[in-house]
Amino acid sequence: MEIKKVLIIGAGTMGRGIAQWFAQQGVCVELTDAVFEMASKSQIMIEDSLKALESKGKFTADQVSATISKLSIIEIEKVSTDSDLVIEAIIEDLKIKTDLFLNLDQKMSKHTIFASNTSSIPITTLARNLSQERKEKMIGLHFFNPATIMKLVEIIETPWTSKDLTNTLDAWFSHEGKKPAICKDYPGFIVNRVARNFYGEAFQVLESYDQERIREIDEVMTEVGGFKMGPFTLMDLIGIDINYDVTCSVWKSYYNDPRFRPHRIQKEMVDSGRIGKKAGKGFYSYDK
Amino acid sequence: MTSKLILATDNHPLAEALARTDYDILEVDPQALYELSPSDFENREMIFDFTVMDTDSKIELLLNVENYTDAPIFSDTTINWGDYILKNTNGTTTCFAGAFYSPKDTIEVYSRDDHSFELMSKLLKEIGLEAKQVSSPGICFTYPRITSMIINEAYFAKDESLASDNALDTAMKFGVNYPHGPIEWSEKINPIFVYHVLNELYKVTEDNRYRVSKSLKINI
Repeated sequence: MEIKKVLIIGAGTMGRGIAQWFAQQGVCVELTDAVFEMASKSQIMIEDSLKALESKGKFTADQVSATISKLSIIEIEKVSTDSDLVIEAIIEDLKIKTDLFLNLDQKMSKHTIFASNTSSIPITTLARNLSQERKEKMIGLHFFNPATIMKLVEIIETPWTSKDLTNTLDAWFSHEGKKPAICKDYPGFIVNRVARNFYGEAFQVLESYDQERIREIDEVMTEVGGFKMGPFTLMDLIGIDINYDVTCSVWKSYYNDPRFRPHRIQKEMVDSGRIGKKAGKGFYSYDK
Repeated sequence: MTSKLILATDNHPLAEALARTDYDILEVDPQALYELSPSDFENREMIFDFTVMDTDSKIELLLNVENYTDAPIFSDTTINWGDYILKNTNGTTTCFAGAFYSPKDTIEVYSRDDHSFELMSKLLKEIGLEAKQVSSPGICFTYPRITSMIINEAYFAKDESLASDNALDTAMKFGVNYPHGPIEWSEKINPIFVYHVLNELYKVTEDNRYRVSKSLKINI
């Protein structure tokens, strides 16, 4: 199996990053979005990002023009039907995603692999109404932001996914410099599940809001634990609201298992609008 | 005989490094604390306790030592409820978390006073470690506690055959930049200490979030 042409649906942060990464590997990429202006803006942002890399000496002018030549944006009604792989990176809404895949199942070539970049919706649920043949070609490909830099791709198998497909994608991504990790279709996959307690247990240690303790816990986890960022700094960067939503989603998916239980302080932060760097105030203060 | 005495159990991961210092080392058997002799503690200026044992035994040990000497005691409470130990002993001036491997060769240290912190830092430097001063030992400090929970979750994932060990490690290293994958991290720490930390947290809080996964139990 070869991946020479990819269709990326959804031109937000993740879709844009995934499109750029594939183009950088020399794969022809079609990038589309329900809102075409979004795709246009993303194309400009990708080109700007590549030029910035060129000015830093990380890419040559030839590499930049080669990458740009591999990327095209297209209206969603006009996408080609012969892509080897489709990656969906749209809003986290089950109905919208399901309808999209059902529609694609009708019009895409029989050989096309379907993938979702979802972090919270079971791939199995997205696959279950597809044709039997397509079910075997449906898989989760969960990239991490920024997709051009972060090496991990979680490859998520459903009960129907062909083992050959999993192994082929594993080998292909490895060859292209990514670090794939194959896992089953369980809530949170690997990272969003195993990382829960980097945050959750930090709240248990904190117990009640205390600015000095927050700083101390962050310092301990970086200076002793060797983490790049402490849990509270990282939550500020991710968005405390987003982190809280993921925590609630995993907790609910595991039938309220106390290992994943959200903390009162998380909710208080969200309710008071102190949701992190993007709001200028989270566990720390930021200049807006 | 020097004025500094190290108490140690053979299961302490720093045992080899401590053996290279010129301090006197007294091996302690947690099952036979009655074997400690007052003469071991005569003319000692400082007692460094590098034993790893459950909290009740640790308090018994520290109270015994307090009976034999007025020297300040520096105690490793990595797997213990340090706050409780401090409340129930008088001679313990410092608690530290030396039994948990740190990727940065730095360990958490709580001292009741600055002088004790300086003395503890000095010893740690001699065995190639840095001290990170913290405001309380809490239950098993901060780094051992958070890391144990991350590792336990990876072992729960193993219970459910979510992914291979290698995939679990790869995901955490390359998806969120962890310094080690959780499975390889547990091996560096020694899974038994992760197990002890989780058990202590469960014992103190009676919160089911700290129950230990089957795969972690089997691994020890």
